[in-house]
Amino acid sequence: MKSTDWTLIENGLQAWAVAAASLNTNKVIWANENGTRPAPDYVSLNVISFLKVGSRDDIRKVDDVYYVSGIRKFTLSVQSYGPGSLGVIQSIQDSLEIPELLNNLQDLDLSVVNIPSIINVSKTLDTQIEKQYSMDIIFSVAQNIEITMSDISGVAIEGTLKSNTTGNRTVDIDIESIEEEN
Amino acid sequence: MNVDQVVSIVISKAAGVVSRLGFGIPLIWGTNGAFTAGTCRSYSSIEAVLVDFADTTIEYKEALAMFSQNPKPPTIKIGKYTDIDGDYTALKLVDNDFYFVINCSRVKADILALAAVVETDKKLHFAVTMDADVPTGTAGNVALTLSAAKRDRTVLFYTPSEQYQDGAWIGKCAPQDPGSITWMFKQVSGILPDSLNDTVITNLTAAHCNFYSSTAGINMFANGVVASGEFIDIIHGTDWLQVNMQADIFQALVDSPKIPMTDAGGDALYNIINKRLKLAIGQGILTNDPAPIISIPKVANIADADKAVRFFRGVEFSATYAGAVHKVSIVGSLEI
Repeated sequence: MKSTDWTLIENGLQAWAVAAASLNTNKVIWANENGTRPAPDYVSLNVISFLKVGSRDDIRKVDDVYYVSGIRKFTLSVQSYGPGSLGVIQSIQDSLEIPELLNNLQDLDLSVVNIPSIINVSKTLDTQIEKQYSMDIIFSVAQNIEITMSDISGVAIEGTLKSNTTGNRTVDIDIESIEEEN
Repeated sequence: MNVDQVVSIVISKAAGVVSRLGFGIPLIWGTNGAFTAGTCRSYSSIEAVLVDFADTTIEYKEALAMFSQNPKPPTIKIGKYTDIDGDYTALKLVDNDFYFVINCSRVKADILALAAVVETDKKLHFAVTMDADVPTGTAGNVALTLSAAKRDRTVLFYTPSEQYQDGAWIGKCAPQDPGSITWMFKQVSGILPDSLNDTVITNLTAAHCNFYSSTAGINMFANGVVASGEFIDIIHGTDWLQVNMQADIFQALVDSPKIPMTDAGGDALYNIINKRLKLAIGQGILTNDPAPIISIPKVANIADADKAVRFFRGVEFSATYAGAVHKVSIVGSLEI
C-alpha cells in the first residue's frame, strides 16, 4: 500500500515557515519532540486536528491497483516565542498572500483554507513574561492511496467429515481457475 | 443469445463433479432407443418415454417404476450405449448433469465394468443381479466381488423376480433431500416383496447387497448400503455437500464484483462455507454436536506463488455426520 508522504509535507511546511519568518532552520521546530527550546525568537509548528472531507473517497481501479483519492483538512498551529515573536508570526501570516511561497505549498498538494487571526497568548515564565503569539492555519490536502490488491480466482477447500461408525470421509473442492471468454 | 454464448466459464479441476442442476437426476443406461450411443435424452413423464421406447423395453420398465412413486423425480434421463463403460465416458463429455446411474444390464461383467468407471465419479451406480450365486454366498459372485473391491459408488440389489426395484427405489428417494432420509426401510408402490429366508438375507447382508422383502408384515428395502458397506445416505449426503459447497463458492466468485485476496475475502469464503454446513445440519446430513470447525488461513500465510495466481489455498473444515438409527436395542425389566 502506498499513501501520501507526510514526511515530505512536514518538511515542506517547515521550509515554508523558515522562509516566511526569515529565521534560521533551527529556529522553526515541531512541537512535542522532547528537544531543547531554541533561543528566542523561534517558532513551533503542530498539526492539532485532521479531518476527512466527505463521506467516501473516490476509488478507481487499474488492473490490480486501487487508487483511493480524498480530501483532508488539517489545522496547523503556529506558535511564535520571544521578544520579536509578533513580527515573526505576522511575517508568516503575510506569507499566505505571497504567490511564490504559496506555490511551494501547492507543489505539495496543499492549499490554504483560511487566513487566520493572530492571538496573543503571552504568559508568565518564572518571574518574567514570555511573549507568545498563536494562529491556526487550516490547510486542505489531497490524500492519495495506492493499494495493490488482487481478486480471488481459485479456492482449495479440504473438508473432513467424521463418523464414529463408518470412518472419516473427505470433501475436496478445488476450483483452480476461472477463465472468462467473450 | 443464451448466457453460454456471452460468457464461457471453465472450471478446470472441478469438471468431474456433477452440477447443482444435475444433482439427483437419474440416468437409465441401456441399449435401446432410436438415438446415438453415448448420448441421452430427458423425459418428464412416462408418456414421453413411450414415444422413444416400447413398453417391452427395460428402459421403459425402469422409468415406469420411477414415475409410479410418490414423490417421483420431475425429470429422468435415458441414455444409450453399445459399449457400457466406453460410451458412459463419452456421454459425460456431452451431458454430465445426472447423479443416479441405473444399469439396465444384469450381466456380471457389465455390472463390474460400469462399477469401475463410476467409482471415479461423484455419482451413484445402481445395478440389479438375479445371479443364483449371490443368495448362496458362492465365492466370486458379483456382490462379493464388488464388496471386496470396496466399491463406494455402486449399489447392488438382488432379486429372484425382476420388478425393476432399483428404479422404484431411486424414484422414491431421489426427489427427497439428502440427509433427510435413510434408504433403508423405504416402501415403494407397485413392487411385491421377495420371499427370502434367513440364510439368504445373511448372505446378502454380508456381501453388502440390498433386497426388498417383508419384515414384520411391512414391505421394505434393506440394507441401504453401497458395495463397500457404507450407507447410501452417507455417500449421497457427502456428494450433496460437495456439489453445493462448490457451486456456492463458484457462484460467489462469478457474481461478486470481486472477492479480494485479503483477510476480508477469506471471511467471505468462511461465511459461504458456514452457511452450507448449517444447511447440511438442518437437512440431517451433519450434526451440530460437535459443531463444524472452519479454518481460514490468513492471507499473509498464503504462499506468494498462490497469491500470484489468485489462488486461496488452505481452507479446511471438519464436521461430523449425523447418522441415522437403523437398529434399536431395548432392555426392559418387568416386575411383579
